Amino acid sequence: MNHADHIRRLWNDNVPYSAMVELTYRCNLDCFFCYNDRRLPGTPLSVEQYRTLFQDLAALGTLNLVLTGGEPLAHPAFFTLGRLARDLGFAIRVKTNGHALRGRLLRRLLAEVEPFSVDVSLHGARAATHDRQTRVPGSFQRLLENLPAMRDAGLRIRVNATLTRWNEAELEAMYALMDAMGLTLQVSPEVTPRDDGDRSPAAINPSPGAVGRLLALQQARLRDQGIDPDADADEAATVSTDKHCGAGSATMTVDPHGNVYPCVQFRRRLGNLHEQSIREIWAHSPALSTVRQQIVEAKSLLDRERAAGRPLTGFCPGNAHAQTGSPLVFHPMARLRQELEGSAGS
Amino acid sequence: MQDAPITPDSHFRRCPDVRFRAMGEEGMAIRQQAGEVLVLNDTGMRILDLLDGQVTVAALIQQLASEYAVMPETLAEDIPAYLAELCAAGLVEKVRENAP
Repeated sequence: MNHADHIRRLWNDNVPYSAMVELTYRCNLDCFFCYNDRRLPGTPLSVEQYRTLFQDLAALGTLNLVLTGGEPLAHPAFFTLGRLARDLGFAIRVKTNGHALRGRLLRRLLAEVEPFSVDVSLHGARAATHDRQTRVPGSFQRLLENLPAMRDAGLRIRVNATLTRWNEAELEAMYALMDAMGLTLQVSPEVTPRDDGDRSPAAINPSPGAVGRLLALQQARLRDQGIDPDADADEAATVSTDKHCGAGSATMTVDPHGNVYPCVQFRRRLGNLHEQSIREIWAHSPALSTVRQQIVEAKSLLDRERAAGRPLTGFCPGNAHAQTGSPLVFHPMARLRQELEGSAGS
Repeated sequence: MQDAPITPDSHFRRCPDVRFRAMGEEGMAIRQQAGEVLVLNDTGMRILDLLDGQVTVAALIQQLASEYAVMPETLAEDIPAYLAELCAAGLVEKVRENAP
C-alpha cells in the first residue's frame, strides 16, 4: 500500500495521523492578516498537560506533530516541549516566521528537537512589501539572512507565502528568489478570516487575475518536474473513502488554551483539554461526530459538481465554515478557482 | 558491516533518524534525513519497535514467535531476509557481531 492510500485509510479509520499544536499566540512579528485570535479567553496549557496530550496522541497513532503559534519559539517551554515530542517519537514540523532562528537558537533546535522540517513565511520579494505585511521593519532582510544559515545547517525548509493584493505583483519574483536559494515555495491563494470572525484581512485578498496567474504558474512548475497536474488522484487511489478530507479524522488542531478543532482552518470547537483528555474528545465528542458527517456530505457535494463537469479543487470545509458559517457552502475562492480552472480547461 | 552475514547473534537497531508509529493494523515510518515515508505492516512495526540495538536476531525471533502464531523455525528462515530489506530501506542498521 502506498502512502496516499494509507492516508485515505486513516481518514476512514479516524486515526489522527497529524496534530497541529498552537503553543502560543505570542509573536515577534505582527502580520496584518494573521488569523490568530490573540484575545481568546482561557488558561494556557501547562507543560504537564502537554506531556499528557503528547502521550495520548502517540497512543492514538499520531506521527506528524506540528508545533506552531503565533511563534512557537516564543513559548517559554518550547525546548522542553520539543524534546518531549522528540523522545515520544514524533516527526516534528515547526512552523515559525524564522525571524529569530539563527545562531544558538538554530543550533538548539537541531540538537534538541531534531525537527523533520521547518516551515517559514515569505511575504514578498522586496523588503517594502514583506515588511508591510509583517509590520516589522527589517524582517525581510533578517529572513534572507537566516534562510541560508538554516538550509546550510541541514534543516529541511519549506517556505510558505499567502498571495495578497500587496504582493501579487511579486509572485514570479518570490518564486525566483526561493529558487535561487534552492528552497521550495508553496503559495496559498487566499487570505482567510481571523479565528475570531474578523473578516478585515480579506481586504488584501489577491485579485482574480493574480489567482489565475498563480494557478497557471503552479501547473507549469509541476510539469517542469515531470508531474501531470491534471492527473486525477481519486482515480489512481486504490483505497476508497467517503470523506472529502482528513479534518477531524486524520487531523486535529489544539490552541494554546486547550481548545481542540478538526483542523487549523476548521475552527469548530470539539472540546477542551482542561475538561477532557484528547482520547475522550476523539472518541466521544458530539461536535466531532457532526464534523465527520459534514466532511462526508462535502465529498458528496463535490462529487456531484464533478459529475456535472464543474470540479471544485479548491474547496475547504474549514474555509467555508469561516466565511459562510457552514462547511457545506462553496466559499468565494473555491468558486473562483472553479471558474478559472474551468476556463483553462475549455 | 551491512554486508556481513546475519547470524542469530547479530544485533540490529533502528536508524537514529527513523520515526515511526503503529496505526491500527499498519504503521508508518519516516526517514527524517531522506524525507521518505514508508508504510509497514503490523509485524514490521513490531520489529522496528523491538530493535533497540540490544536484542539479538535470535531473541527477536523468540519474541515474535511468542507474540504471533508462527513457528520459530519459520521465522528463522524469514527474518534475516526481512532485516536485510529493512536495512536496504534505511530503517535499521546492523550494530555489531558478538565476539567469538
